[in-house]
Amino acid sequence: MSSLISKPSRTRNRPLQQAVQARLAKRKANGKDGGWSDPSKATRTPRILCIDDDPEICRTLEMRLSDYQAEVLVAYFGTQGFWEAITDHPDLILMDVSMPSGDGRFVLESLRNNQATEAIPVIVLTGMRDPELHSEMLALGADSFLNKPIHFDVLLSEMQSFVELSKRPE
Amino acid sequence: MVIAEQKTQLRILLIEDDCVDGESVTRSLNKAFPNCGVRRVRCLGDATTAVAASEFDVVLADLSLPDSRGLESVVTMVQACPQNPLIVLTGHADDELSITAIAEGAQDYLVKGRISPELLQRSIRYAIQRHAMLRHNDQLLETLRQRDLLLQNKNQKLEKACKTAQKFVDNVSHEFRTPLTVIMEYASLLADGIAGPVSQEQAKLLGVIDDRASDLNNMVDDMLDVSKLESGLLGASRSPCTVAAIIDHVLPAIRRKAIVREVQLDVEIDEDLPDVFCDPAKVGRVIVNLAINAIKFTRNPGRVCISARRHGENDISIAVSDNGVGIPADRQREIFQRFAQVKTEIRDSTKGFGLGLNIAQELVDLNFGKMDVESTEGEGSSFSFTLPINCPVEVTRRFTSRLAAGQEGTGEVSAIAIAIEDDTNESVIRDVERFLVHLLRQNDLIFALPNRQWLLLVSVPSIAMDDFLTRLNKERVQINRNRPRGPLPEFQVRVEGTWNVAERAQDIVQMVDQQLGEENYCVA
Repeated sequence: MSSLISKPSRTRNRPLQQAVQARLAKRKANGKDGGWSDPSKATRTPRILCIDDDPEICRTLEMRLSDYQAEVLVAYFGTQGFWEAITDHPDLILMDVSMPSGDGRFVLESLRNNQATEAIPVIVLTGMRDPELHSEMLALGADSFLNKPIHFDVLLSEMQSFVELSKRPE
Repeated sequence: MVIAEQKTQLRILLIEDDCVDGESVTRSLNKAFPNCGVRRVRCLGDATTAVAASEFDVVLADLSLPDSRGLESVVTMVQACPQNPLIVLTGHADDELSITAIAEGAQDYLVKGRISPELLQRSIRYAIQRHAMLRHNDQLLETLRQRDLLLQNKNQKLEKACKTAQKFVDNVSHEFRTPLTVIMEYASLLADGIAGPVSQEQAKLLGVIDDRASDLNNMVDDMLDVSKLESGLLGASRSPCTVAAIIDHVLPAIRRKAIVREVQLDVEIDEDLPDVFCDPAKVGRVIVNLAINAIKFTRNPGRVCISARRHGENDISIAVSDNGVGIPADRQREIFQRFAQVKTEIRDSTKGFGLGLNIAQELVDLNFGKMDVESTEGEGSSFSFTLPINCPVEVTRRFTSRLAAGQEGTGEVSAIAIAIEDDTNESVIRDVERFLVHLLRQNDLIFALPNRQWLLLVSVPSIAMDDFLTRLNKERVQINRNRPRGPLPEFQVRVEGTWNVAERAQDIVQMVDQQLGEENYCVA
């Protein structure tokens, strides 16, 4: 994996806590709302990366968001998700926990340990009900934790607290 | 254990280098025990060879020998023949040496020149008896140690097996949820017309798919709850909460279901209700389970009402009523049993595990409440449960009586006060509280005290207190390792005491009362 990380020697040794603090500070510095309401960015379509090993989950999100001004990127396993995040810089990441080739913990840790991705908000969406998993993912730097199955209106309002999602004009 | 009077010949080993003393002691011995066999050796070396070669019932040893002197002789002899009681013979009444000799393992000491047959008889009998008891004691202790080790091993294996089983249930339920998520999402996606226009009839049918899939999801939740209740792994984070917030949180899901089933749903929450003390997520599950049942059993036109009102001095009552088929009086008790369902004429929608009410009842019990059902056949049913209002003294009272009535646990409760430094900020305090809540199990309780302190009541006996504190520390270190906002502050931990819940419940309540100062916390 080290080849994917832009500056392995610097980023990998950085403690997670430090990285997360830096990420929070950076987001704060970008303005009260974390940057997405910045007028220069408002005109840009938000890009949302969905990482889930079930392609149908990714597809439902694509279909749902086809009505909204948003671009949906998809990845079907952990390392692919991390690669997409590094190369495409999405504005929001929606992520499953149990996946082949790099689970949610791995992806989250990698994202938070890399300068290019450390500030991207991450919503964890899982079918697991373990309360410890909840606190674990938040400790690793997830911004939100939701349970599957979820009704789209709930998911939408959660996504809207991180990116601006408006309906496409008819 | 052979402690009684020796029936066979006594075999005595006498270690004495002085001929005159030797003769005199042997004479006394023969008088004391006419049939005894006395073997005399002159030095310690000979003695160790003798005990290795043949058996003796008792060893009498002079302390000054050609090859060893004083205490050294005692130590060597005790090591050489731990199976034999040792009586020390000294030339003079030197108490210091004699007492040390007894501390080193000798059974008695006799002063030469003052030895009489009667004294010898008594001393030897006592020595043999005491020695036998000591050895028996050692054996018991050893057995106990081995059993303890065995139990620890078995306990570890059981804990592991339990965790593996739980993990398996978790995984299976996760595997169930993945396809469910897709089914529900596609159904609602189609119904919303995202994949093309749908007729009203089609949208309605798609609503049914979504609804039934969510039933399935609830069943998975039920199974998870049952397995956790069964294994005692279900945590309970009880804290002060408002009734309206609990109901509001679960209302959207219930409302969705009511709309699909064309059931009118009313919510009546009395104003000015005091806060309750409970685990809001668990109580939410109870309301969902009762509401799903009610919606299932109403008859056209269906009507379900969720209401909350004050119940007596110390409780709030939440009720879910329907205008359904009702439950025959003689069956009202058994519906709370697992897998039970009342057979009705409504055949199509009564499918399910029949776990809902049983779980609801156990979750209510977990929150120190009582479940009740009122039902008239043909008119409808009303399921209600109580929750204690946020009054620590009353909550403690119920906590202790629940523990005293329960089969699990050791029947002991320990109180632990935990404090953190004064200069910690609000978010850290919240995190510490969350950590403490996470640490507790369903038979434990936590109260927040003023000034960054908490009072934990844990069902841990005093004998296992160290284990609990070790666990607290270990989990704190583990949390600190990957806590983004830095480590949690150091805890000042003070164990306030341990009480038996059956015998000293009142003392526990009193202690909580003193610690919290009731007037500040009890809601009028």
